[in-house]
Amino acid sequence: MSAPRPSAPPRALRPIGSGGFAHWLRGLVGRAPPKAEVVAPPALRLGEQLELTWRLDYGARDVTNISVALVGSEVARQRISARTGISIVTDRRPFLTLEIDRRMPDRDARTADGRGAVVVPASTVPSIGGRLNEIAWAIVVEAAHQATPLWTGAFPVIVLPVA
Amino acid sequence: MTAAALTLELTLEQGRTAFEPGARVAGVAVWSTPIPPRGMELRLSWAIHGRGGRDYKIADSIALPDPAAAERRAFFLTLPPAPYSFRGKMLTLVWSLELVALPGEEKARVDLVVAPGGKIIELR
Repeated sequence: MSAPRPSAPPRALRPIGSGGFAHWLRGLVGRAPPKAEVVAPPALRLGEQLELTWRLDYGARDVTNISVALVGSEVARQRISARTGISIVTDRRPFLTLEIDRRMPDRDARTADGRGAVVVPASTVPSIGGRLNEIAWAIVVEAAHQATPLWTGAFPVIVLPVA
Repeated sequence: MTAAALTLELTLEQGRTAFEPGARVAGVAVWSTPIPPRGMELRLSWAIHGRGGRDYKIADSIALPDPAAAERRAFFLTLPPAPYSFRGKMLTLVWSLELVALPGEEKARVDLVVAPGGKIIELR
């Protein structure tokens, strides 16, 4: 028997840190960063199957492999006070990485795409967000040259408790 | 009312402290004070403890009406479906049930595990 599918319909997810003035300026004065698109349900429950399609436009970069994974992370924020002011230091530690897809694009390709699915284990923790501490889930797309990561994009999803 | 003259005790049925999400929790609250407290309540809360501090939320608050100076009162409550108790390398989520005397906020507390199977989830 296959895992149930999320009730939320799939849509193009918004990456963390996408857009904004800095993104626009980088595209204007230099080589634009790779552009990724992930279409998936924005929310799903523990025990459900996440299905997604993805596409990465990486231009002339020498990308030899691309991985797509669902990653659960612990996120802890710490306020650091100094004479110059208060800054927030964020520590992030993945506790679960579920591989969804992996591709080795052709040497002269400038884009890659794919699809995949993964079941979120019922035995792990749902998303939870506080002012300082958080359990965050994201679909992470990583482009690499051999073992060296060139670019990483994270697309947040909400993981809900078992129904 | 001085803290020294106040005793508060919170006991859960069969001494159980680990539960499934959504489970029913039964117990007994016992208190003894020189004069009747202004109020008594049960406070169900969770907190995520991390390096930079904790996030705290009261999930439910149950008033125990018309408290006498000394009393033993049975209660039951239903746990919410989430969040789950977990222990990670950076964060830990702990549930607590407190018996709180008002207005002084003196407390008796029991830590709970709320997770599927009644087992804390280890994030490795």
